[in-house]
Amino acid sequence: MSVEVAGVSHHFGTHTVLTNINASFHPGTITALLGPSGSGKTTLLAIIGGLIKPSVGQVTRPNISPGKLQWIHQSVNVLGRRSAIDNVAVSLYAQGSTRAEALVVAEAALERVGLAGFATRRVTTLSGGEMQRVSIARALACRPTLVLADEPTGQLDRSTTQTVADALVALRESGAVVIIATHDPIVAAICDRRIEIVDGQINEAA
Amino acid sequence: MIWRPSVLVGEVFRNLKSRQLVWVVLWATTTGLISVLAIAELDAGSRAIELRNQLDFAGANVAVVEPVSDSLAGGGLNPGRCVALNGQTGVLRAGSEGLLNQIELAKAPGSPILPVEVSGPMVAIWDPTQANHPAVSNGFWITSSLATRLGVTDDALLALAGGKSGSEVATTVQITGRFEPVRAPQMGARLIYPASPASRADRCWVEVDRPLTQDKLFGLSAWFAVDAPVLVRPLLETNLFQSDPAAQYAGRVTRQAWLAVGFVVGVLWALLLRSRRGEMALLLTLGTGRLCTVGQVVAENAVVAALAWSSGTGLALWWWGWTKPPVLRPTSVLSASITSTVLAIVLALTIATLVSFALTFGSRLQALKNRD
Repeated sequence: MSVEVAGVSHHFGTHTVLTNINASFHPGTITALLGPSGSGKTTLLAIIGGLIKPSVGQVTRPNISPGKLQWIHQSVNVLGRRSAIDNVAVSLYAQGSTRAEALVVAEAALERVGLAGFATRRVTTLSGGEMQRVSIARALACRPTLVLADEPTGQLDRSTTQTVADALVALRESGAVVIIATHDPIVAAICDRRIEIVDGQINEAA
Repeated sequence: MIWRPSVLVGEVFRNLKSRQLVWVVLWATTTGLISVLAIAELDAGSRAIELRNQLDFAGANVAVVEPVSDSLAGGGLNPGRCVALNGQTGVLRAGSEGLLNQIELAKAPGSPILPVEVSGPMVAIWDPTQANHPAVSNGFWITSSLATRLGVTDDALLALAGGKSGSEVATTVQITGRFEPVRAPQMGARLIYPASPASRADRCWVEVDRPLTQDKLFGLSAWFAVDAPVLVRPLLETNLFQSDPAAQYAGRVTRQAWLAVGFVVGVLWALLLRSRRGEMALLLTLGTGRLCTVGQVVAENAVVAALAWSSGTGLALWWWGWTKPPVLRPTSVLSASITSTVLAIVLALTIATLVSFALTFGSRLQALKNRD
């Protein structure tokens, strides 16, 4: 089921961040939200993710059960003192998995993002790109309906960005609606669709 | 959504293991604070009991009855009425004393000694260590200081001076016991003759159940007023109507210390939890319910709290057993100390739980972005 954004505008006080946004996002496609810093990309993601209620307009999205909405952030969000496989497995507990079941799925997810040999490593011993791939594996493991990524390569160098971008491709195969806010051309290149936001308004480029 | 219980328990212990250094520091700090609180409570209780015992030993519950005037036929008090107090409700023991004619020892002429005839357990009232002293004996009791001065042993025969010259041996008396008149230091150089109640006595000593109250003094006054008006006074004037050690213990400063300890420990835990807000936000975005998220972090605190409480209380009990004799370690003091430490831990956990809940509100996005 698609995610529909209809007539969404948002203000922070007197400051207008988004103006009359209309867009549809479809399962199995990766959409890039492009635009300079402060253009409203993160705010739109937060509205789609339900973290912020829009000032005007509405978002229609599938009924997402716990764990089926996954976030990937610029700052790496991992349980720093735990192993890579524990970090992925934890996303499955909210879906009722036992630890044994979660570990099997988590191992497979790590393999899909190229971290098969890193399962038992403490995540703080991994590089920034590897940690971000752990986040992507975590999103993959719980078979998400909606994945929202906010500048997932914002803190990575060029070569690392490529490995993370390759991992993001795996999200398309999960059949989820994937929306990535980015200004990185490498990440934009792997997306099926690009929407540019300028001064809070959409400029659909492709 | 709530995790499976087995998963939740497993995660709690895996998190504890992964943060063992942090938890060890927190455990040690909490143990220290709990043990200080417990020790303060135990010490306050022991000191109160020690003070009470010291006061009891010094005669805080002893009243002295004296005639207002020499109005009784033959003079003084009726010793039979005094001794009859034994067995009355609230009376531990009562005995009378009356001076006999002065005597001189054959080997120390010119140094008169005043013997005192006593009835009832008088020696036990003057010397609490002689609680089993017989009310009547076949000989004299001698104070330790007089025995030392005369160089006599407990079973010695004392030759009393007499005759025209005053230096001849008139008779001998048997010394049957020695005592230390801690409650009547004025008896230091006297011989004591325990006997049945005679016709008159100079004073009646009454030891009552603690505390010695004004009502009890009035009661004694009424008891003797049948024969003649009497003056009843506490042996230790300064102790009368002062707060009882038990009351002082009940109003001790450390009684509220659990609030401070619980607050400090709770704030420490809250600071640690705040540093984990990103982790909590992450769990929430993964679909973990608020209750489950809070339950997990609070459970980790609870495990450390239980360990710290056990070690802190154990440390305090070890100190208590090491430094205080059993008589100063009553169960009531122990339970008061345990109650204080439990309250402190419960308060700390309550603060930690409330802070955890507070951290799960607000923007998860912001919490995730703000993580360390």
